Amino acid sequence: MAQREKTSFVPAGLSALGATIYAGLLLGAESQTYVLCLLAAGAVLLAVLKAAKLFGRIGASVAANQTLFGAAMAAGTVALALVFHADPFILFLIATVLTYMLACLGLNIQFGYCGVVNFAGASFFGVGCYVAALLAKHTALPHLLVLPLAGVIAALVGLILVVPVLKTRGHYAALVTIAFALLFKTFLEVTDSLGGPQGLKVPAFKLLGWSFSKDIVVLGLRGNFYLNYIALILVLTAVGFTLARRLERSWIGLNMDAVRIDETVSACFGINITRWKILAYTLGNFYCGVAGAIFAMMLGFIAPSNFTFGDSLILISIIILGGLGSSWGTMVAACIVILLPEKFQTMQEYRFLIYSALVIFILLFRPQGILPRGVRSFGLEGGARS
Amino acid sequence: MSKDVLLAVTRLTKRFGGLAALSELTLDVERGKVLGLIGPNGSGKTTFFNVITGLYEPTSGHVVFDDSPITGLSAQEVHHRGVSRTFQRSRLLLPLSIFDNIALGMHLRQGKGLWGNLFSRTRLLAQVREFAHEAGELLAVFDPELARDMSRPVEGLPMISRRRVEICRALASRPKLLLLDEPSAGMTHDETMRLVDDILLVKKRSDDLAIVIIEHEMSVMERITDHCAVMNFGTMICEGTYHAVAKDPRVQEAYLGGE
Repeated sequence: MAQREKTSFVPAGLSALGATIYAGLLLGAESQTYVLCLLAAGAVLLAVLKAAKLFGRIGASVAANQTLFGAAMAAGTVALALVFHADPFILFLIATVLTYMLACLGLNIQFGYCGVVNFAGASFFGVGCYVAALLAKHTALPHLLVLPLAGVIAALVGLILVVPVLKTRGHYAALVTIAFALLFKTFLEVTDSLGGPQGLKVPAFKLLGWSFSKDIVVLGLRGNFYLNYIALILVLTAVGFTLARRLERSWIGLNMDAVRIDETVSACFGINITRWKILAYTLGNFYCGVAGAIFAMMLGFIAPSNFTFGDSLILISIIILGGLGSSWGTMVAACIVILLPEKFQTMQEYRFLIYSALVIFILLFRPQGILPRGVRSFGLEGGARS
Repeated sequence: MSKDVLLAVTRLTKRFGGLAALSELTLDVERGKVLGLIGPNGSGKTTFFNVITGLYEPTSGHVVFDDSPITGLSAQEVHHRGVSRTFQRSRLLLPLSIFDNIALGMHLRQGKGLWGNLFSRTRLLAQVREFAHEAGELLAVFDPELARDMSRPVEGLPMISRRRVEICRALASRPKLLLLDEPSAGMTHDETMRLVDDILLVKKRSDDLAIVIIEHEMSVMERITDHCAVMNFGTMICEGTYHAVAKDPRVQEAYLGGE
């Protein structure tokens, strides 16, 4: 115990600061050469850190100061949002990254913890979007309630697939969810009451009469309205992150891991496999639904083309790129997957090529993901030493 | 009846298509005794374990455990009744820590509510500490060095340590019946002898525990079994003490092939 308490926060704190500054520079970068230079500088920096064997120390420091590190990263996000307070595009990017983080945390519970494959993440995200649109438009429900309700409905819609998801494994389960993703998009396109292919307008989020789509003015300083959404989504993502971590570090986390690794052994030790798969699957879809709801209200407009199978693939690629089951990995990968294509924008049609090449490159050298998940623990000081 | 029967198997049959892996097997396991299952490869020993533990559904026959029928119950339910097992090829959860693997055996005593697991961390961690202490004590009986740091993942451990963790995992559930499927597989002679000592230790710790062990290493059987049953072609061809069985001509024939 004493040994853990001595682990200093300084390396973790410095990393949080470094990551924030780097993200800030990247967000603010406009010329293509500058972006490329930044990426190169980032790669060199990582190589230097690796050569100096500092990753171990940083990792230990983060592991010993989880809460503080999380708070530092959240503070870093707030700082970035304030720096770019007048730039709607950059603020929108930050909000998008945060939303994807939330949705991917959900997929991570499904796939990373319990091994339940879901290639229809964008569909459940879409359910959240449409539920938010309908509820906000046609009911007087407080919007703060619309969010969890959208999550619940996404989870309920997910239950349509629960039998095939439980009964099939691996590729077959993947196929079932892919089929659902295609069905969902078609369903939206042909349903006129949901706007058909033209989509729907979504009212802005309101909290106690205060509309989130109005710019904020504090002491004569004007901040873009996206700041409202960033604040809200940051809170949602932080709560989602904390709950996912707690889940991972509980008996439930152990059960889910056991189910993912070996169903036969799990059954022989009395684990109710169905129960944990349904829980993981439902929780994951709930996350996706909540993320979708707030995203739709921020965008103000949704259409079926936002929820294609391709979008589901992006969500899955985030959790695989980050390292399956790794919450922090998901955070990092969400930044990379959302920001990089945007930053290569002036290269037009080549940007996805460059971005895809980069993803392949990363997975080639780190097949286990950018920040692979460590050995599962309960987060006890000193681990399970007796 | 003088025998205190824990597991009573009557005319148990398991067919895979045309092949009868078990055919009309009748066999009793007494409470607190060690039964050795002997037989050539493919004689149905592991199938027997898989049927008892609910991984396979029997084609016909009855299994009564602790005075209640368990025929055709799921693996999960059979475990609830008090049966734990190890596997022929060690099946630990390799990426997980030693403690997590043993804690799997304590599954039935763990809190399963979502609320308790997510929101009462203090109580959860108190239970984790308690179980970690228990797991540490159990493991230390076998190997104090292994018990010192249970946060290590099992994938880095040598085979004998893995076997020990696997037996601890099965014992952690406090079973009435322990099924050991070839615990010496993949180990050297010295390691096997140490494992036998471990199993004898297990027996000493709990009088009531019945063990069924499948093993090809005859020296193991000689040292630890109270009783042996010899299987061939899915049925029992003879039973008795190890020495009686070893001398039986039918057994020699089963192993060496008869006319």
